[in-house]
Amino acid sequence: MRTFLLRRLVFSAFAIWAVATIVFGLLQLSGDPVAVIMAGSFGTPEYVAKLRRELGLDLPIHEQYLRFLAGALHGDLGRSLRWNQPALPLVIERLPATFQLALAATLFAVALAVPAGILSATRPRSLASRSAMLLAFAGQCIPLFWLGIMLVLLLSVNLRLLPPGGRDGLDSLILPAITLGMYPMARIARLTRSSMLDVMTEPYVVTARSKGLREGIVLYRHALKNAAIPIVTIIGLQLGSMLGGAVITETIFAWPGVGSLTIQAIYNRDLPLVQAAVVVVSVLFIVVNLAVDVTYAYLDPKIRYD
Amino acid sequence: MRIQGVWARVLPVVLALLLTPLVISEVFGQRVPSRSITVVVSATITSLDPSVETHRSSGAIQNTIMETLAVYDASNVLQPLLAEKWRSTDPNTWRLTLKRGLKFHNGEDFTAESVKMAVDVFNASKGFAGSWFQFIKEVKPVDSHTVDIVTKSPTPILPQTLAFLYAFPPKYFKEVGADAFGQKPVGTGPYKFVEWAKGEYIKVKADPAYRGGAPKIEEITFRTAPEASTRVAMLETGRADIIMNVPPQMIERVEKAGARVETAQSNRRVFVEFNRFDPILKDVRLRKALNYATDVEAIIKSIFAGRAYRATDILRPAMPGYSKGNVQGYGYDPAKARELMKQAGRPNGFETDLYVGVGRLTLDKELAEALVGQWEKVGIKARLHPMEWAAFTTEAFRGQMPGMHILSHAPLWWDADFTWQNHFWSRATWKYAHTPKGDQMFEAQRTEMDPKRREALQQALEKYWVEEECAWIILYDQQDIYGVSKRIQWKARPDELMKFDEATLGN
Repeated sequence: MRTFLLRRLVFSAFAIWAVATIVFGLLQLSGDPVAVIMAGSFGTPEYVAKLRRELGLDLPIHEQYLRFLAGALHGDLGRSLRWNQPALPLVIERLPATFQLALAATLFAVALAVPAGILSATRPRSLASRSAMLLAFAGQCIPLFWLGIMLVLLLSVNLRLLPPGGRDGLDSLILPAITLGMYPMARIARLTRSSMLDVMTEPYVVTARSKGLREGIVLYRHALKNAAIPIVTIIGLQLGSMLGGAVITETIFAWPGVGSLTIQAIYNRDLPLVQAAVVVVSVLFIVVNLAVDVTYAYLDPKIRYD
Repeated sequence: MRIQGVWARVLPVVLALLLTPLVISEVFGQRVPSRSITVVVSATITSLDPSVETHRSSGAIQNTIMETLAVYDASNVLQPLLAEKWRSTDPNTWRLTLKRGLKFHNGEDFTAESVKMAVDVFNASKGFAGSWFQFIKEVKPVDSHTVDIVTKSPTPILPQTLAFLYAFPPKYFKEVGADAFGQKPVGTGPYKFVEWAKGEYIKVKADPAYRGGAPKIEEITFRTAPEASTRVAMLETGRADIIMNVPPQMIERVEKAGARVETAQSNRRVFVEFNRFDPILKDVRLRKALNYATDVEAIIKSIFAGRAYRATDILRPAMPGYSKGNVQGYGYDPAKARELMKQAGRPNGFETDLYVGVGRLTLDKELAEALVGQWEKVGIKARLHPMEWAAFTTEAFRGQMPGMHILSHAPLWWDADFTWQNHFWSRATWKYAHTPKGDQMFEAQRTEMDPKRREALQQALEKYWVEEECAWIILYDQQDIYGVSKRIQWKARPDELMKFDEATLGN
């Protein structure tokens, strides 16, 4: 296990470096932060040159890059050009809201998807199963933007059950969690179904049944535990992507997470802030994937990483 | 139907998970006091320091806490505020007399030192406002409430810029530093800063000791919602009392919810700027042809449902030099357009480009498409290039964007100098309309201290750029639309700034 973790650490560091470098390159090519500032204001050529100097944007690209790397090794990811504050704390400040939303969405997705998938695999022709799979199909097709706004119009504006936006009390978490969790719910449900179907035909399941074990024990202790690996993988991947990519949900519901911070930073070509967000989200994604891999070892004793 | 098996175990858990937050919120949720309102703005607030963040969303909050030396009223006329009077003692010096007996919220006195600090803070800023006061050479306190502002060259517009010079508390600012000040500001305004829950809300409360008497609204909570539909939903559900930037197509929703819209003719004027160095558009006859080929009234009627104000000039009412009719607009006259194109040797039309940075102006893409369609009728084929804003500004900044681009302009200080300096100068940010003659005229009005002579210079410049050089297709002023709950008396302003000191609750 130790060598496995060490190898993963080295690979993770490389992955974070690669992502940060690619993002740095893309941002440099895509726009000039000084132009964005100046378009909203005015300044003589001398002032513009002074601003570029003060922001470190007059240096050649490779020097800007090396400066960024050197700072990153000390935990300093630069100052946001727009917020005029250190970039890393700005991102970290947004993490609680992001975690809250991602976890709530995952809980919603798993709580609905796994039972639906199991039901569909064990009683495929029942009404409940067909409805569940239809919902799963819809969840994969419905655009997030449309779903969020429809939920707001129905449950907030018309029925006055829930708030339409903002992070203000636990009830404000419900609509964004459903919106964000719908697509993962659909994917997890369909994968649970197909994974269970594969496992249910295995000889050990037939044996368990013929031994006279209760259906519940057959399903959970024998079938689900073995079907779990791909399900856990997809849960991990969905959670990982929610941690940095809930931009649409956060925008519709004015949820102050990392996604909306990052998209604003991109619009403003706020290089240091985008870099900081990318580094933080990469780290989170890697941690989640590591947790998923460690869970495998628990689920399947045959899996060993040494 | 009995719920059995998996569902029997799982369903109660799922229901409990979904309903518990609702119950908790209902039981323990905070009730907002009734003399308090919630205002929802559209942009994320990054700092409450006005030298760092100048967006109107932040301005609404900053202006409750901090005050400027002068202020514009709702007709864009400059009025004294923290500075009682000002006069020019020599071409490069303005002497300001400050109001006495004022204190900042932390107890510090408002003195000439605050003005000195203000200029230093702005000039050190790396944000939008860093360039605003670069024309100031030195700030010299004469006594505790008199200060001389020495400029690098004669600056007749200095009084206008005072509407953007905020008073900073020197002791507090030095104590906490610039970063912390932006998170927890202190000022002389009618409201005191209370709390900033990052990403959630900013709270301010009325200062009972405010010199004009405490404002009627006791507490204001500011929230941000970038999505227009969300802002309107917050108004509909009673979670917001005032919302900004209501798109015209959502006005019906606001009114159906029992609220109303407050509108103002914005200072933000929308226009098409020519690249007068473009190989085709360098011919002024073709620029005039494009003007005559544009039916602005039709655009206002069909795209904006009448919610925009036709504009044909650059100087505006209350600006020094403004004179109605100083320039004749270009009306819609396709025949004249064709005639001019024939004279320019292009009787069958020509091809050009129209760039627009999408997402900044109301219905900007629809506007661009309408323009292209109108011009096509006289044979002008404009290739439309919608671009993301930052990509657009990066490209435009290089000064080489071919053809034309759609822009808007809202002068900060109410003087045409602001417009000339932004668009009609060889050293401007937007370098698409400048000539040696234009530069000369610009520099002359910039340093002319005699008001009457300066007014004549402004009018001459306006005639030059509108009638002689035809640098723009001037379109319209936007209509700013706010949604306001029935329980509040509040009026919108033309300068996109929301102010609450005169707002009241109740009918």
